[in-house]
Amino acid sequence: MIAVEAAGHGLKSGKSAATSILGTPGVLHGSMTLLMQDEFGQVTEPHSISAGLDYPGIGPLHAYSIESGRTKSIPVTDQEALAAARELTLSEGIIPALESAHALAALNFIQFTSIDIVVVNLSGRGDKDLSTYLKQ
Amino acid sequence: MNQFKKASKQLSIFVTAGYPELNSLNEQLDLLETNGVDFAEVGIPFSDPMADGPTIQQTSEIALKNGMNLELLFEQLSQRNSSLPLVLMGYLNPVLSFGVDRFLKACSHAGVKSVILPDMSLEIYERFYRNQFENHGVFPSFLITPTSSKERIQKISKACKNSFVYLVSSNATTGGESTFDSGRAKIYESIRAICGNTPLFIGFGIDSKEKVEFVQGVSDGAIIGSAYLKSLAQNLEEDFLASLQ
Repeated sequence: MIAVEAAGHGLKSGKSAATSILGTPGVLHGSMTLLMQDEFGQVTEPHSISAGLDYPGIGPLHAYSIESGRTKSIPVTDQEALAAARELTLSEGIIPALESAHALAALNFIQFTSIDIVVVNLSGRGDKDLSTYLKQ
Repeated sequence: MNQFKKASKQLSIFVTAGYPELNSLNEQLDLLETNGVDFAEVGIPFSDPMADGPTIQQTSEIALKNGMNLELLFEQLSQRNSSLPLVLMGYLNPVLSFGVDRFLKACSHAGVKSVILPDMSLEIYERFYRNQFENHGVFPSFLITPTSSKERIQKISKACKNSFVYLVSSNATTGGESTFDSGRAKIYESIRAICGNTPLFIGFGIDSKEKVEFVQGVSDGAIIGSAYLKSLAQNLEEDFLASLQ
């Protein structure tokens, strides 16, 4: 399985929400999971253009799945997600939610063979994100 | 023997370590001791203080900016003059990051009598940490609310027999508005009856002598946090403490 994470301005920018890569085990909001934190256990302020992904932690099941190797996580930046949303909108007339746009952008980073059948889960509509899209 | 059990009614005051200045803590503890406070709750600042209202959140933020962390807190406590009994209050993640065993050892050295970690549930404590706590002679206190079930209160008061049960006055964060009327008094009294021999303290939303006396009437004592920190922000802490006498 592949999980796509919001990398914000980039993994090393200090403005990211790519928790599975930048996080270490910690407890927040009642869950022990991968958490972006400093050396004193203080939680790092996350960033993503998508409010739904702007969180310093990740669901514990996802963290487990990634740590066990079952799931591979791919970081996607704000700009890559915006470009993928624009491409789907222009080519198919479907406006994806910003969260889903991250999954679409990840297609560029995966090696496919000619017989692969690819399913991308568009988890939400982009109507709610129009103001963000129009600003870009 | 439970050190929170006294014949008289008690008062506890909460201060955030590292607030208002990085090195204010010991001066604060001296002041509280001089003013006859029974024990102090020392807040370990955390970036995401879920149980706290705006006042304590703000003091946490300032304390973190000042550079407070657990290592420094224990260093400051090792230099304190006051012999005021201490309770540490904080959240689980900084403790995990510091190391649970190291934390408990430092608590034991610093004369910390109890630890409150609102995001450590009783179940998690019993499953993962109880042995370590008991080995160091540090006893956690757990929070309950007026809507906690009888079974839950019984379970928690049993687990707190060497510390105390912290009753959150209402279902809200710290520093909120709580109505203290006869209906509420009845609820507190019934909770106290369930707690049996375990001391019961009431906190959240207590900001005046009147409210202190109200909750002392139905429990072992009152805990004040936000109201004190507000007075501290205005340099009126001595007046505030005097107003409670």
